[in-house]
Amino acid sequence: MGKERWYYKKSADEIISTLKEISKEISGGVEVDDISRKIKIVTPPSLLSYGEIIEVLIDNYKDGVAVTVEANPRVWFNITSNPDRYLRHITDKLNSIHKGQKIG
Amino acid sequence: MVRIKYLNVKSSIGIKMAQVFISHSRHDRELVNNIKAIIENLGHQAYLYEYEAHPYDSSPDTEIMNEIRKSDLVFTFLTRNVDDMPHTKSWVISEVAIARDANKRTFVFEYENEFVSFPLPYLTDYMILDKHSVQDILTVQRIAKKSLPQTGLPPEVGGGVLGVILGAPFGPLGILFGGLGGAWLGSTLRPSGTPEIPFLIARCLWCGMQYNYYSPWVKKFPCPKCRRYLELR
Repeated sequence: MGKERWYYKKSADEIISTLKEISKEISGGVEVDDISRKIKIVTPPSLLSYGEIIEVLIDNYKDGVAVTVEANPRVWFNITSNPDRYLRHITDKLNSIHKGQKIG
Repeated sequence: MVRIKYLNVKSSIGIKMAQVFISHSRHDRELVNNIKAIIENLGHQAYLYEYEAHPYDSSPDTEIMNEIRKSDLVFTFLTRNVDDMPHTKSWVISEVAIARDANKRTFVFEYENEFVSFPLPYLTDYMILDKHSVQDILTVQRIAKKSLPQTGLPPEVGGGVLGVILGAPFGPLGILFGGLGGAWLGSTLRPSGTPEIPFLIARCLWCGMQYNYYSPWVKKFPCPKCRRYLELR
């Protein structure tokens, strides 16, 4: 249920490629919409969670991209789901590789 | 001519209701309405047909036969009103014969010290009622409850479903523990210690008829099948 926006001096394709790698790490399914540059990662269910959905939107700028990461539980009433954990994990990974800057 | 039929077709969430065929005289309406209410309160339906209202009506025998075959139990109330009306008396005997043919459990109820004069060819259970005793009506209710299938969901299932709903926000583990916990709590809600119905198996020394007898405190009574007096030892 968290949302963050980061700026990277990289191309959208590089970010998408990194996100695909990250989704493999967390054994999640990934869907990429090449037209809208939107990526959807679905995490697998666990004992306390039916899974989480992380949506990443990539906006192209002249010298880089703005990446919006939003994480929510897959089932709205799943109060023990922890989408923020995945939000943190994905942004940390992205920043360790591409050195981003938080916006807002 | 309109036939008077009282058939409660209340449905209970898809679970088949049992039916009790009540053989009676229309003049015993107060008693019979109490019994009908008892059966309906248990979630089942009662079927009653009154002959005296339409003695010259076209023969309802096929309908009566079908309803008895459809019923789970037959309750026969033998009172002075039945004894005094030849038409009713013959129909009551005929209904009992149909119940025997259909192998239905047939309960016969009579008032204490108001035994009818005619013998009944068949019965499986017998109770002598005190006309003024509410306790006896409650005993009839307990007998019906024990003899008819339970309606509605068992409390374990209801508790389990509620537990699953309450546990769902906590994920698959919540569903598991919620369901198990709910089922356990539901089982604790099941009424326990329901008083047993006092009865004994009576066997007539004269006609050899054997039936469950629910009024063991009445020691001397005429056997409903042969009308010769029995004395309990």
